[in-house]
Amino acid sequence: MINLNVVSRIAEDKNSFPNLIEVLHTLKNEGINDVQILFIGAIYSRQVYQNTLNLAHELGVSSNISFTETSIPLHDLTDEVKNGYFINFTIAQFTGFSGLEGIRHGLKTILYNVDSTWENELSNSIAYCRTTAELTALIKAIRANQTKLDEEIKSSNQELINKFTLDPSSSKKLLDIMLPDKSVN
Amino acid sequence: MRKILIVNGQLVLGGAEKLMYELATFAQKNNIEPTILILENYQKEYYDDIFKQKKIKVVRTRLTGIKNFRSPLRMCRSLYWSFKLKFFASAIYESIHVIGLYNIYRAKDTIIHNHRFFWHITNAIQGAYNFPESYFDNANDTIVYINPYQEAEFNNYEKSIPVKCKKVLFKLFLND
Repeated sequence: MINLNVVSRIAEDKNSFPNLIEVLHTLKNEGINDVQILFIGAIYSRQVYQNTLNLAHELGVSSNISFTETSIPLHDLTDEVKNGYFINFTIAQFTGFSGLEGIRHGLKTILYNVDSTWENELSNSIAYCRTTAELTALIKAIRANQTKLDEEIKSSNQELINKFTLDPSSSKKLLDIMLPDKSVN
Repeated sequence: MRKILIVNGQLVLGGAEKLMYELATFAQKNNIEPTILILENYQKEYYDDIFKQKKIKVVRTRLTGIKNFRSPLRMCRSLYWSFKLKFFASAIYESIHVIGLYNIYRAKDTIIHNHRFFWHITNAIQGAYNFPESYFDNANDTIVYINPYQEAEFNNYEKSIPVKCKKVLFKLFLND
């Protein structure tokens, strides 16, 4: 069983959920039924929620998805959930706080690009998926050799998180933003 | 102690609020006193207790539509903050940080300051850029991009409206 988690509000501006339902559908067509997605987040749009459910129903993967229907801090998730893989929606190399915090918490995080405009901007690191096809392939690779892939994903995640800490130069830049020279407009 | 003001409309469990938290704790570490201003929302939310633990001041009030005779205390507080931020923000705060371009309307005409930073925290795929021209007509204001793709998206948007604001890129970050 492969457990995937998506930490996101269920909202219009986060609506890449149909792509994930399609991934489940593709896997099912290849005879893979043991992949589950848990959507962790409050429902801001009943419409988006219902559309996701409807699509899952149409594609025959309803039993592969579930929703917490509320936001849950990462540290409050059960160990079973934490042991799964966290799919984080990214814009090419850019990862929001849910992804960064997940990695900081040691969660295995898969970075899935949701804007095709930037798909060529992504590095070849194992945890990055440019497209749904790459995400599907990664899930299959995990099923085939989980131990090896877990190590590679963790290593890729660690490389990423190092880029989001403040070095002296970026700390100075942030201080300049917070304390601008009052004599200069 | 030098002070900054961070403005948003809520303190729920979310990325915008996490950015406020990281900015506020970074400020604290550097001997800058942050104040969190939550406008038009009096509900206690996820980060209220977290900021309280960190001894970071959270103010919930409104700066427009102040008349509320059924709640005179809130009305007095609104009057106080609206007067303070309209006339004395520059004297009190080193800079003002508005989280999300969609929140500019809350601060544009109510918080008067020469160093306002508008943190841009979404990308084009999350919704079309349809902000009014007036949001970006002050050359003293600064848009803060949090990723380079926003820069490209905004350059494209600028073909349709004039933007006088300064722009700067600053990556998301996690304090230790």
